[in-house]
Amino acid sequence: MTKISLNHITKIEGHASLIIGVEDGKVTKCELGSVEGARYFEGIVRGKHYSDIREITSKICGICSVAHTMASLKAVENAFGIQTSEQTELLREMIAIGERIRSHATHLYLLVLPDYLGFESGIAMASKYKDEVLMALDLVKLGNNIVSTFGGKEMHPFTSVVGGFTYVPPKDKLNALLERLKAAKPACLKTMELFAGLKHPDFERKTEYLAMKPEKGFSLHYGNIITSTGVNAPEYDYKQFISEYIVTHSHCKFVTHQDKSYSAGALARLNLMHDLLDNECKELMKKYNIVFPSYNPFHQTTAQAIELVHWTNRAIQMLNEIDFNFEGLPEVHPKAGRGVGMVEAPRGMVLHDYTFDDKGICTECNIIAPTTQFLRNLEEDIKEYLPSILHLEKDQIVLEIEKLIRAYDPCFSCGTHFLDVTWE
Amino acid sequence: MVKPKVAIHSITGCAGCQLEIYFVEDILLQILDKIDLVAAPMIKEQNYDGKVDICFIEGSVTYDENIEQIKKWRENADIIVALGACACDGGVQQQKHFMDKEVVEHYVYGEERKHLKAVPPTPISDHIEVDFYIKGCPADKEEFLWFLKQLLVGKTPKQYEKSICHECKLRENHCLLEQGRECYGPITYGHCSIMCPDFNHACTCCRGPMKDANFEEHIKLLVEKGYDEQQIRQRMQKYAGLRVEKLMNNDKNKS
Repeated sequence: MTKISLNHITKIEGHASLIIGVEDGKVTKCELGSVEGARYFEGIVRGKHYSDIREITSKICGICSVAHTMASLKAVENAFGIQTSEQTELLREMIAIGERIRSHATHLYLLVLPDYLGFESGIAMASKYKDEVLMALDLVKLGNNIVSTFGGKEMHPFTSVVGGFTYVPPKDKLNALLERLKAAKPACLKTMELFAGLKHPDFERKTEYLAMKPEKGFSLHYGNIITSTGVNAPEYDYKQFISEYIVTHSHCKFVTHQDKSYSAGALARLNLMHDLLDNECKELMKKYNIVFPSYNPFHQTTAQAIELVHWTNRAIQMLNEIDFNFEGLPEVHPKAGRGVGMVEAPRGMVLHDYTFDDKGICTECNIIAPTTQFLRNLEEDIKEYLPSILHLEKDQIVLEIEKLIRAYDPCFSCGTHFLDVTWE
Repeated sequence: MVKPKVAIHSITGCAGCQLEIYFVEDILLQILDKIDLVAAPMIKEQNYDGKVDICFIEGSVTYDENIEQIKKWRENADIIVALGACACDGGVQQQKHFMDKEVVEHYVYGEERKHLKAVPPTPISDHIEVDFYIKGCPADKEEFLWFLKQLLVGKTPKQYEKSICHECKLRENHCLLEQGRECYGPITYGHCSIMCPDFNHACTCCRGPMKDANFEEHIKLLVEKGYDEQQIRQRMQKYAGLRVEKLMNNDKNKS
């Protein structure tokens, strides 16, 4: 039997390992797991005051700290029956757009593209493709500028608190940001052209897709859970159709829907809701012959590139149309009860579920991060993809598997980092 | 000049500190031109595991393999830099020390948790010698750049010894404590390029406790302002409870 075990997968967020067994050309074993140390967030949050929870749970993840922040705040607000202002929702959407832009740009250029162009890293790629790398870094910076303008910090933004905001940026900062966004638009379109033109492996596997369907427009926040098999349910009912389980090869829990795997992230969103994209994105899809739904997991990157254009357009529109004014510090009155908050992070749905006592102290907590949801689907993709590449050299097989893993844009800090190979 | 060999490693954490470094964006390529980045598994496929001049470590020790990893990095590096609150002080996960560990672990993973090989979350300085601390959650990229530039011009960077409160006054911010808000600026290390109080948000102690902070007086002050003592003590434990506890015990022994 040939055993492939990758103990530390590089160029992903967090630490992960993969063990594969092959016998007579058949895959007999495929275990993808997190080797990130456990941090027990759900256990730590219990006994904490509602005003501290957003700060603690945003630290679950560096690259999707905004998504965790927003899901956390919404869960608390839903538990207390707080209706936030329209401006609060728009400000939160702006911060989330910033995270979407920086996360997609980082993933596309620094983690994925080097594999396709034959470099070991984005940095090494700069020797030949300096303009592209600089463009990528500028997009990352744009996303960061958006997050910090509205959220205070780039990472773990703190200005959004339960019920509202502590701060709203002054007009001159918003004007400067609008100019930055307009100037970055050509880079988004170039990214679209570049990633639409990549040659992906010819691999398809029809799976289930899950995403949050926004209440209005193609917002990043709040709505129902929908799947390609027809589920359409409010977020607080999630336990009825998705379940978490523990596997001993991983520090990360696995999540399934009716005991079957599903996929999440940009590809899932566009497979389910490409009709909600703006007109320019729809035109671009026609121009580059991009069709959704796509059952090729490598098309995750194409979907991300389209989202990059969509969200940049949306941010420009918002800054053109909306006047933001400070509404005062929110007053919060805690009450006993349960609240669930759900948002779309760059790599899939995030859900926070809290219960509070009447003093606003957290008594129960459950958090579902994106990577935990698609791990099993990724394992199943690897199992099916592997037999078609077994004729390749060992190094090449590993590269192909790594490409597939990276396509999902996994984040093992969220769930709980990377691929090292030994052959037996 | 020979470029210093640099490694950027992580143990258990959110990877936010490492990202924060790469988020120096436009000057990233210039920085990388001045150093030889030989290992950074989050963004590089090829990672060298031999001798380096400077090794940055993010994250805290939460399971047994973490200890072996950082000991190896220590052996191979001239300068070890703890990057961010987790590496410096244990970070948010060390709050587990102040709770019933069995209850916390059981709540998240149930009975099936032997494979996790958990150890109590600790800062890296509990296991290896650390030469410099870049504080904050996440680590402050301006402080990272300042530190690297100091080394590159041949200076020895010194730890900053003033509080957030000191810097806040220099910036002429309207004092949040005076407004009755629950701010931890007086007991927290400064050198923070983006301070929460600049955005009308109280300091929450992410850069860790000053070694000469007067904790009991600060607690008294906040209690007088109407805040709950138990919650104040809990909030002081958020990023660096172990260090706060040690410093408070030292104070008790002195008096």
